[in-house]
Amino acid sequence: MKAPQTYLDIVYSQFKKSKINILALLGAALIWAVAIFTPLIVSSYPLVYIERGEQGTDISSPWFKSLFYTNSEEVLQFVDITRERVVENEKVLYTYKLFEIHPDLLFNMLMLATIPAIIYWVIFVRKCQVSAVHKWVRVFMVYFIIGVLLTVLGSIKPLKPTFNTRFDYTEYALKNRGRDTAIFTLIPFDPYQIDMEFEYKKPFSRKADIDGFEPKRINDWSYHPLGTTGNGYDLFTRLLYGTRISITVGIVAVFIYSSLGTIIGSIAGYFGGKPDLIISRIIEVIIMIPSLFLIAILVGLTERSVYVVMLAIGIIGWTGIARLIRGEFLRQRSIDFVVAAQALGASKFRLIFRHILPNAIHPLLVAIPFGIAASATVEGALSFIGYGVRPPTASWGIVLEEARRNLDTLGDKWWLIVFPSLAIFATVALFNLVGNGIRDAVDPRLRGIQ
Amino acid sequence: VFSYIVKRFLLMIPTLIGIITICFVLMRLAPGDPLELRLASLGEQKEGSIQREQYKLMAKQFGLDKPMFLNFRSLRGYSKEIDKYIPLIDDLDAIQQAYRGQESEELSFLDKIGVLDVNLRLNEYARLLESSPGEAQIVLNSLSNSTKIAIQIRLEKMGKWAVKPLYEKLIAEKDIDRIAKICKGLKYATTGGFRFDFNINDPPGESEVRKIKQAWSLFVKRAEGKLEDPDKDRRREIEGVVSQILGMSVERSELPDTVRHIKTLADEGELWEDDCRYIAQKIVEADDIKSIYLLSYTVATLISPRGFIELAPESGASEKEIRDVQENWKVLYEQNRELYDPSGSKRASAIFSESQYFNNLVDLISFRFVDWKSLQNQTQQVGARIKGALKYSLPLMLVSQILVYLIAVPAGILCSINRGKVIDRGISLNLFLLYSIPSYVAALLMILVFSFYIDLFPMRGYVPRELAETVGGLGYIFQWMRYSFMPIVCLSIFSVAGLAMYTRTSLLEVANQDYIRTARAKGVPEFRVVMKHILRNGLIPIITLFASFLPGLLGGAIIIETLFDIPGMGKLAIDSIGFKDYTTLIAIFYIDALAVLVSLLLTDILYVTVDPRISFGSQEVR
Repeated sequence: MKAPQTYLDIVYSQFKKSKINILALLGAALIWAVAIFTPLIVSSYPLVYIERGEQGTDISSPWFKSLFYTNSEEVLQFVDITRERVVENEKVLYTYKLFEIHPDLLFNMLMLATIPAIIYWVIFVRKCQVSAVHKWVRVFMVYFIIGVLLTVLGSIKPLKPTFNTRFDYTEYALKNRGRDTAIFTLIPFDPYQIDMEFEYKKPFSRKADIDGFEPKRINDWSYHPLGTTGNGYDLFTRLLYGTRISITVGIVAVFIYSSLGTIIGSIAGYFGGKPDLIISRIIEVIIMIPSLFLIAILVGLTERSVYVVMLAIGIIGWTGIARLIRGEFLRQRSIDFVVAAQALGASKFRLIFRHILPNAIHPLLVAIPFGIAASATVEGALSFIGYGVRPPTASWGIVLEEARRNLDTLGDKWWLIVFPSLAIFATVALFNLVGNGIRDAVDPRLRGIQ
Repeated sequence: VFSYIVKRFLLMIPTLIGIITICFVLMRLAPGDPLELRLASLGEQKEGSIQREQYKLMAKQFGLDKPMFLNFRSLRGYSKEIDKYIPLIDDLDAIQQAYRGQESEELSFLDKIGVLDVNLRLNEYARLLESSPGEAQIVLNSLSNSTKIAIQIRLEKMGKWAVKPLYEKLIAEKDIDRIAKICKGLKYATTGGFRFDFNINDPPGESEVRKIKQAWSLFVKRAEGKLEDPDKDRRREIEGVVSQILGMSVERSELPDTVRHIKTLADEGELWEDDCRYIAQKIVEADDIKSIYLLSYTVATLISPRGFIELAPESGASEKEIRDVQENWKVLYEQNRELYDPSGSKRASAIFSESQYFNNLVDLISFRFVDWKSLQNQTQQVGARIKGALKYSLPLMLVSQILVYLIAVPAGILCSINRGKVIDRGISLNLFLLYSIPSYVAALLMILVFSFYIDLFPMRGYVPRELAETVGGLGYIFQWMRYSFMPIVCLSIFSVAGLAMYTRTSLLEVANQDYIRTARAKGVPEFRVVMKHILRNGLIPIITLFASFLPGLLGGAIIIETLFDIPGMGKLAIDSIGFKDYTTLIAIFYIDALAVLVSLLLTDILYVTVDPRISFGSQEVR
């Protein structure tokens, strides 16, 4: 029996008509997968660590434990790159709270949530009598709910680390090389592991190749696939972790502003009259000011952190969606089915959320992928001009910002620009393409054109 | 038509006020005190009281000493409260005595004015008194110190509204000690006393000039009876010397000469002390800053003007000095009776007019904001800063905006004419990829390629001053193009792609209309269909985009300017955010908002002119 066609089905069937759309969707999914499975690719914690002590062998998985490392009060020591220049090459150790730990935790939990999601799919969804799109939607809902629940649980009551979370296993493994066995991931680097002796090295260089090489850590023998940045951070690792920041900012900011926009837009559109006038005026005011400027003010006047960035983008960005939703509401309000529902005595709440909103929601479908791309761009731009996430955090904008600070010697450090640029471009382009595809699929006026 | 425009103008007002309000609230509610930041950046490491003094003056200068939105100080009689303070003003011994005595209960009102934990610390003191008197004394010292400062701050906060009750007490008071204290309190309430002198390189604003003049007029009054009035002949002589002094130059380079010259005039006996009153009268009447400066300097070399109107007695001053100070206050109060004892209606209106918000609003609407001083750099005015920044960013933005329209619109037309063909697909895809390149990525890549690998364009985005001075007109234009090439390209990329796609969609929409099919069916030649029917109607929505033209010109570009180190508007804005330079920020905001509003209006008018289907009456007010 063929499943009944819903709005989503129609959109998807339109969407998949173009091959570019499918490719873009796959690409976006790949970026998503990379963000989720980052620790599987790069991690300085061994997947399995077999310690042969005097009491006997002890097998543990520091990697797995490190996924739950959530203690945001933990103070991390690092050399602040930005201040280093101010203090005239005097390397000063600063202690900072590492704020941007929650996006990492969320993605770690999402990685774990893939397993229950797959089980759910196999047992419950696979044989359901709904279309493929709906199956995906269901699985994703469950997946997301599990992931977010795990994250919330993890943040409310952090698991007591059973080991020192910043314990340097790479060093420890080298020390006990003959005795213990450690299995590392493919690229055993940490985004915050500092190596001041190995700054700004070319792609595919490794510490073992320098003259007078003295190993300090086990990963000194591993190649840096994309080279290193200042402080000896591994660029590839930082780019992978940067994906998480970009995608988190994109999704959370878009979530905030599309909810805000939907609510405000529907109020303006449904009630009309004075509320509409006031809201339209507010929208006009906000649209008037260049948004990057406004966001930079919001961030600059508070604290630099990824949360502030997400909130700022969310607070500023709702106007576009509010306008679209308002327009839809104004159009739908006088259509017969709404009038009929009204005549049947439906409450305002019911009218708005049950009858009009589901029919007015399609601008949102288009705005979300575009919004994610735009928010990721803005996040990079903010970090780039020094108002985004804090410097030690692994983010694409931060890497580019470092390139900007080294502008005079940039010719020798091309990898600092090229790779993050590619990452940003790929992400933005893919999400934009998906958005474009959805727009073509949703917008009936343009359907016949291409 | 006229009524429509008027209506639009009226609608602009609430929008504008809304913007200013949002901006103001954002600036003022943000944590961190701009003045403290400023003082810290100046490297002030002086002792507390001096820094406090400087802070106070700065707050006054920027109007930050007033309440934010509503000022209710005018309605409150402070008489009773002040009664309690008077014995304590600037007197640590008295405060300690009061705390030691039994009336510490009565002192608990101090709790309310910002002395932390009075009762807690007093209990601590009482507890320690038995066991270790030394420690108890330390607690008491710190407590009385903070009390002293709290009283001072409280009086400053009351401001001019405390002057009248204090003055009434001053008149009625007999005890010389209390008179001295009241005078000190009065000085706190009026903030900072008087200035006679100023730095000519950092000329004072209008309101400050008024205050300086006021100080001199007080000097004239107080000198009456102390300095003898010159007779007619002497006056003529003084006139001669004064006109000689006024002829001197105050240019930065020649200032030391001028100063020396005035000193010799005084030393050689050309001018006497008794002439000061006459000269001071001239200062009061003068209306340009230069003569005020020169004359006040002259008087200051002859006599110390401060002695004539000292507003607070030194500690351990003699009775005569204190009486003098009291006399000064009498004169000052009589002179400014209206200010210190305003009528009821003035008091009521002060609720609104004496707040930061209202002051800012008035300054912005009357365009007085260009004279504001920048918090980041006090020697510069906001207007001058913005002007300087526009000099760099305006040509850049203008060229790039024009380029955008020149490239994007034809590209969009080309696409829509050949829709579905290879040209369309190719251009569309390219545009789409361009659309996905953030400007900072493009800029960095371009720098890498064109500045390092091919040494074609310089990394800085503006012509350096030395170079600009050496090359001539044409050479300058050539250099400008060389330096601005990369910024302009980066600025244009995103907009070109967006605009071209917009053009394409809007043209395609028109091409699907029935009347186009009709035209084709009639046998109208294809060229005519495109030019006359499709373009004419399809390009109308493009006009709405002109709304962003003017604001784009004035707004500058934050990222590109930061990257290429161009001191334009965007850089100015981002720097101002960093320094919490909110005077500059509000000004930039306001200019941006004005630009948007004006261009929205222009766009609407343009729209009606171009599209005959729309008229002013039927159009929904956006």
